Amino acid sequence: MSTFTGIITALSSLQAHMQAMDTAGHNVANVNTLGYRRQEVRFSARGAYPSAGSAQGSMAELIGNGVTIDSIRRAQDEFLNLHFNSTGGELSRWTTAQNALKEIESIMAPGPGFDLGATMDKFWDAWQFLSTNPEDMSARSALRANGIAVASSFRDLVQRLRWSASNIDSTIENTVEEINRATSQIAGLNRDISLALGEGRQPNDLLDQRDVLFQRIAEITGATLITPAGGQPILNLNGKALVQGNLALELTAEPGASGYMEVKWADDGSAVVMQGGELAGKFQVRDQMIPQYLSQLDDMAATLVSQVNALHEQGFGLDNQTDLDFFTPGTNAANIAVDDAILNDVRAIATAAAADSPGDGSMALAIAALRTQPVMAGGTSINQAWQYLYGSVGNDVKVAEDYINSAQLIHDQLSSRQQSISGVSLDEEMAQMVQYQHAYDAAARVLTVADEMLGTIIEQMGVH
Amino acid sequence: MRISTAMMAHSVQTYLGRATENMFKIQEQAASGLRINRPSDDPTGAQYAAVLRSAQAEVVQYQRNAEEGTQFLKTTDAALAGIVDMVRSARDSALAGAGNGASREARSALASNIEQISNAIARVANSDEAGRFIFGGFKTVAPPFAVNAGAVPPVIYSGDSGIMMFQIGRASNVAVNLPGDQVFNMNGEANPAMPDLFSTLNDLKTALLAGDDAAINTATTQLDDHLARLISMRGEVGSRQQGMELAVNQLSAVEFSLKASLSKTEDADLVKVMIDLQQQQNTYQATVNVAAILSRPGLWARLG
Repeated sequence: MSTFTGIITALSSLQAHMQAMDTAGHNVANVNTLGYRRQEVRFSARGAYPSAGSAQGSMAELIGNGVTIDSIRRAQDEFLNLHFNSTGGELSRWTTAQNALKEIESIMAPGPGFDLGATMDKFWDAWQFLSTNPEDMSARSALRANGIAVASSFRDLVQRLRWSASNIDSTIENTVEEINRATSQIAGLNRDISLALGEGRQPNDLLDQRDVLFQRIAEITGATLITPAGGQPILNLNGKALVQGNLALELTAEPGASGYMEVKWADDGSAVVMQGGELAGKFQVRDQMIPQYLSQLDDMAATLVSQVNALHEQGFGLDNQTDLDFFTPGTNAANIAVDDAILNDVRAIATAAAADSPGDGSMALAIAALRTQPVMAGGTSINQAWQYLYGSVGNDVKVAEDYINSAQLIHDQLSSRQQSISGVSLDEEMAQMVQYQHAYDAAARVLTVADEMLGTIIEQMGVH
Repeated sequence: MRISTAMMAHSVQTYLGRATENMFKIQEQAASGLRINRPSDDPTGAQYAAVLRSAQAEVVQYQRNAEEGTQFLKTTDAALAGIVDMVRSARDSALAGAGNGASREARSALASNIEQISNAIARVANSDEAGRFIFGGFKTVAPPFAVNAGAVPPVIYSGDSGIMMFQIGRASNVAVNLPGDQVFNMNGEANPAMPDLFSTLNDLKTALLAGDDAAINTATTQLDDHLARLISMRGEVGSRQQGMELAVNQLSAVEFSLKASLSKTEDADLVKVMIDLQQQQNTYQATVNVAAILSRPGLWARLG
């Protein structure tokens, strides 16, 4: 055993406990840092040196040489992280979809009595009133006004839905840029992490940063992590490696055939099918739901136009004109309009079944009856088609809400468990710092005693 | 379970957020009085409410139609009543002028009376309901009867046989008018074997002036026929009026029941809402109190 063993042992304790204090300080400093996993210090006793020169007895080898820090471990659970990321992606997807759908819901249903259904009811009412007063000019004007209102309601809805879709569209480019920035950051971190691991060092903070980026990418795209045995994790999107090692593949946003932005791989131009995350939610609303609503509105408008016109053409106006259209023919929800002939002169509105019959409101009656006739392709009336669309928008929002609620619950539970394992507890760190401080003080004491003992040998033995 | 500092803060945020969200939802119900403020609050309920609203609008329109039709029928009925009286009066004159008892002067006076009656009937035949001529069929914008003084035929009908139908129910269209050619037998519309009422009256006038008893008798028989037809038509109008009244009552009942259904579907039960609001407020207060306790400084404030 060496002369200075005592001092060296105490020194090792001072150093180790100072490092532990620094780690605790690091944890406390990062109590609010996103994605920070608390770091735990692992002490281990340093092995005994073989005694120099003395017989191989039992005693000498048993005296240890102090303490060393084995590793500074990141407290975390890999599997939990993977699960958390995937539920994060799901939650993000449905939250994004629901936000967009809520906006659409308020477009379709501004309030009871203000929706397209109410406007159509007023239109049918006006035909009814006209049927009992076909010669009345103010009844004709009222009908024309209601016709204009129905047409502009349809056009307005279409415009606002399209505007919603293009709003969603305008965010795609920025999102893709965010993905590219994040993936190139991950590639850089991968390089630094492998270097550090190669040198035997533990790059905890780099690992934390990378985890945060993984989480964000999962939230945006639903990408998953695949960790090959003994290797670095690969970020997998749609079957292709988005980030592997130092290499990050870029994505681009380009206008597609529909005129809306599509996300493609920059290297081969193939399309990316988003499996989850914000982008999947956005695409779902923009590419599936909005077009569905638009096509239902088109069906309703086209049926309205053709049915009303078919009857109107057979009727006679106050001015004895016949074979006129009420709505501009061949239009759908985007461009439905009252025909110019009617706009110019309300007397052209056909109410009678024959000429010179001003009191005959039978054609107006027939048109009013379209209100309840099953003229839509599905065998419902136009009003019923609207009511169905109205209910289904509400349903779509509700379904998204239900998905969010269940995903949120799971996500929250996982988040809690993650925090429980990896989160910093100030109380805990405090208690540990007290521990380390005591150990440090004690080690300093031991050093002093060892020093005094050496002093006895050096200064007092064999001095004359 | 190990609790980290962030978990405590996060749980404070989450539960406060949830309590506020619940209160907000209930407040909205209380403020609007509606349980369903947007389709997603209850999609099936919202759809049903939309259906009820549409049905309500339909029923209200039918009620309006029925009221208008009733008005039209009333005017027609009043006109017919007047015409019936005048035809009876003409018949009395005819009786008075027949036989040997009447002098030439008396018969001349009676003839003049008949002419007055004919003109009066023609005026009533041109009655209008708010500017629409009620006895013209579909030709409602111009007076359908034109007096052709001194000529034959004495009155010309320029209307048609159109029947105006008013819809007072999803499957009930009712006729509200009587076309003039039916009422007065113009152009033999009601009875091809007979002349129209005005021609009959004209014939009667001529017969009285000439003292032609046989002709007077023929005219009198024709007047009886006209009278019978007019009275039966009046009966027809009366029963249509009854039908309208029944329809109006029924529509009222339907409207009421639709209103009740709509209210049940989308109105908020304010008593329940108030109780819920109170509960949520209590929950919120409790959460706030707990949050205050959790937010107090921990061990780190006590050491050192």
